[in-house]
Amino acid sequence: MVELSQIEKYFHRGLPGEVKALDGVSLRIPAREFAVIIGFNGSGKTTLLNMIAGTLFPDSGKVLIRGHEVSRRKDYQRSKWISRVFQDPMAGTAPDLTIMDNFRLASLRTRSKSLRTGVESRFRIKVRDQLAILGMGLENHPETLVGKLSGGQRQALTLLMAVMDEASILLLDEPTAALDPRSSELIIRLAGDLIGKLGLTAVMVTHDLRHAAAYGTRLIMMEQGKISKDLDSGQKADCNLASLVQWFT
Amino acid sequence: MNFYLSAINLGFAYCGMGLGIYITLRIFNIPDITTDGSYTLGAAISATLLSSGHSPFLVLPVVMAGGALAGTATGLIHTRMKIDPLLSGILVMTALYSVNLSIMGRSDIPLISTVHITQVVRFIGNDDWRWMTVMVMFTVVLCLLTGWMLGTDYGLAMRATGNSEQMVRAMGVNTARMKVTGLAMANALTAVSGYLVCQYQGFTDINMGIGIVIFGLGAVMMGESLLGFTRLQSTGFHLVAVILGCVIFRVIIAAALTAGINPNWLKLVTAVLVLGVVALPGIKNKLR
Repeated sequence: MVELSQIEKYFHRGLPGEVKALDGVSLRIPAREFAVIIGFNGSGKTTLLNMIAGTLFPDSGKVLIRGHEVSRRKDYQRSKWISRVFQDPMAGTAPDLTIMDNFRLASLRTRSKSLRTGVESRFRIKVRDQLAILGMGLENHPETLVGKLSGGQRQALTLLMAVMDEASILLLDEPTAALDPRSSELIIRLAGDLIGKLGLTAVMVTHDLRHAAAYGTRLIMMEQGKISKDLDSGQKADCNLASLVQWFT
Repeated sequence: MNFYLSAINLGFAYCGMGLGIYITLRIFNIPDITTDGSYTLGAAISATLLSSGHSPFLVLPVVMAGGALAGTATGLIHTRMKIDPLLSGILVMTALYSVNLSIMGRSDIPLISTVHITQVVRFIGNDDWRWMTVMVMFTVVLCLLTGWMLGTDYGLAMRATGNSEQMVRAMGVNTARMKVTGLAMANALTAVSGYLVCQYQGFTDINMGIGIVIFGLGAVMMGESLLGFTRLQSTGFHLVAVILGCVIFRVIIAAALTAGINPNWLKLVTAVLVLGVVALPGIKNKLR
């Protein structure tokens, strides 16, 4: 589904502060795999995720999505395959648009935005059903401006919006880092459910080792721009929170 | 009374610009200084073509295309060369001064005996009311068009672009192109104001656009503070508020003039007024 081969990425190349963020990383993520990436700050996790998303281009190496070479394609050109959830819970939704309008936009992720107006009642019902999953009562107020909602609610919306249109690859960049413990649990559980239910291919970067231990079908540890550990689901099952904590000491 | 009627007329004439500034300021968070130049550009094209006998109906699309081109220039400088939008606008505005001068061939063109857009309603006897009818018609049409556009799927993507670029790109929207299109639309609207004002006042002057962007920003913000007293928040109400802002601002300036303020102080009065509108929310919060 996603294939990275020999990716190298420098920041500030040729300058005194040169950093080699990715050092020849190769990674194959087959369909329906839920890969969790952990690692120290600056180890290259988020850079790796951005390579898949298309917000960064590799200095060398190739990125393939579903067999298409996309190394130089921009993020908005990859949206037909990829949906994203950001670390900043405010970044994934448009505050000046209503909940319904946000979902409308999300439902057009893989298509062009034409001069059509309005949404069908079938779409409204679908959005309400989706909102009802959250148990936040938002389904009763679909015309609320998203800017009036809390960070936890907005991150939940981002997640639901990410799967509105035929999603195939879901990228989650520390989706719970900015949330309180309760919202954090809610988001990770929702993410896990959606990924399982819809059979998505997912890549999640996280600093929360409890989430890393409990979720995902593969666990990847990054250190200094390289993959240092790569556990498949069997190996991951043998691995508990305590052993993950050990990796960081 | 006639004095106020012409202030109201002029307020409506500025609605195109008001809507344009609403798009750039409130949707893209860009105070677009190009406005000063594209407003004059609209007036310069209008005066040049009208005075050589072209129909006002044919002139209008040319004016809008000219404004759109100016906005596109600002947009491309901002998005392609990664130059601050404020500076991009100043650059284009400065360049437009020469463009406008060369379109006009001189620094002012009177429009005394040329055919006006008011000929569509020549059955109305009174000149002021003829203009009022035309201005209201333009305002309604521009407002409906803008409102419709912002309500489409494309408009949703445009509104979201100013909110969270990251999100909109993830939704498959080329935000750079979106900004260029938005700036083009906004400046096309602004040029329509130049088209109307030059016909209404009967001349185009190369300096008529100086500081007009401040008026536009003030009108948009004034409209918003009016909206703040209500609980209305949909885009349609925002556009109506912009139009109210334009008209009220013009009437306030007319009132200042009748109160005996020296016309030389007009720009200062305008600037202070806008400062007041901008600073008001902050002052209110401090007092609390």
